[in-house]
Amino acid sequence: MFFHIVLERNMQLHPRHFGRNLRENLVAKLMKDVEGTCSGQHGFVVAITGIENIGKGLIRDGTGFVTFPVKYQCVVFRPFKGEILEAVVTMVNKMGFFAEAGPVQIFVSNHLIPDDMEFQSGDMPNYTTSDGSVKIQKDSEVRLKIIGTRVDATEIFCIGTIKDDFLGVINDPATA
Amino acid sequence: MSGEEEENAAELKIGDEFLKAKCLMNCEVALILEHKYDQLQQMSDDPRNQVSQVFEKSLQYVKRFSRYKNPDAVKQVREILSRYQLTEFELCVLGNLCPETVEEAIAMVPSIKAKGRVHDDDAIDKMLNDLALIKKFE
Amino acid sequence: MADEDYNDLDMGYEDEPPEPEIEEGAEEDVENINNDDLPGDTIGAEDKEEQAQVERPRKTSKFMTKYERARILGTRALQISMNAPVMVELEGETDPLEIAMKELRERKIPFTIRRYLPDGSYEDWGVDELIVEDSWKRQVGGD
Repeated sequence: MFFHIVLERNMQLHPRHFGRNLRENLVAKLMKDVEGTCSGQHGFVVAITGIENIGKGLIRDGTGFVTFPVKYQCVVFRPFKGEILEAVVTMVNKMGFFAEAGPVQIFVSNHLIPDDMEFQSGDMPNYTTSDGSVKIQKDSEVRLKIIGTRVDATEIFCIGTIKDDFLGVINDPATA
Repeated sequence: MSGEEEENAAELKIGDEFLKAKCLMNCEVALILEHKYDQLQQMSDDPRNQVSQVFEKSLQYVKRFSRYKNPDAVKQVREILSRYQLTEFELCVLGNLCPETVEEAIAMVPSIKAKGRVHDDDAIDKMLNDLALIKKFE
Repeated sequence: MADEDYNDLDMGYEDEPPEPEIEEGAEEDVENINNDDLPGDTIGAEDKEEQAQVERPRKTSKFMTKYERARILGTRALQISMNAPVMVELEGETDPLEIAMKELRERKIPFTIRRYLPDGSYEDWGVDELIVEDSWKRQVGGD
């Protein structure tokens, strides 16, 4: 789920960036450092939308660097356990399939795929129901529920299920 | 393992910080990210070099899964859903998934039927109908 | 000069260093007032505590102590040696310390000194607000 939150960070700036463009340099450095990163608490920082406040710079003893506390607003993506969302299938194999929802990857194991769907290998491996009406293959859109999240150093990884009601392939008549 | 052990979106246990934060629907995020992409395009030649992979993937995702393309429709959706007593999180899940029946809505957002919330099936039904109307006349 | 304990250099450690802190202010701007990164008591991005400080009249000396002067010159010289933009016209000086002294003479150093008082509160003074005693110049090695 995407959120718009305010985060704070202490940015260290080298003296050569001082001067007229202090603020721009600070903002550019902030964007470079923060956008695209991921933390366990806030999830993926997708984009910084604005700077709320730049505090007074504190000069560090002995090094000449100055630390500015910056408060900024950003869009983050944080998947939650129990959340239901839609994703695009990226890879199918006999253990299950991988789907992507924005920056996060979700794995659905074949134990959590309804029993009437079977794995078919081949050129385009897929899961199909016995009557062939529903098919999950690469680039299909599915609705799944996240049942667990794991946070690595720079990534969040989730596992999901499509075994509950109203989950599974999305047959949207508008886009079909 | 990730943070809180009792974290569970189905029961709205997502941490104080996120409960109080502003939640965004895919369509709203699409507007924001596209705006930012355009800004970057104006400032330099190739914005693709400057944006992170996370940004790209998110932009593709929200563009693909936005139910409402028109910014006015998006505003209307948020306005309508805010009339019912939903938390931001529930509002966005409904706006993103657009359930068609009351049963589906309850399956998507179990917390609206939890512990004495004021939503009866009729209210939920009306809400879903309003959403469907906006989509039709987008 | 009144040398009371207002300017305690070794007050005991807190999160911040105990010595009077020097803060980097905004650089060279004609409308200094509107800049967020401004030193001291002009309006900028201030904490609530800062607001309280500003309302209370400051009581520490309006003269710069020799320790403050030494620290400011040292820090500014360090920054200049690390390529910080210089605020004054250079007339052939190359030594960072001399450039720093020139900036101080012309009151162009964009720092704020945070003077901590024994009770833990502080007062912010801009470097351009303080009076620098000329008699010290001779001690530094003259111009």
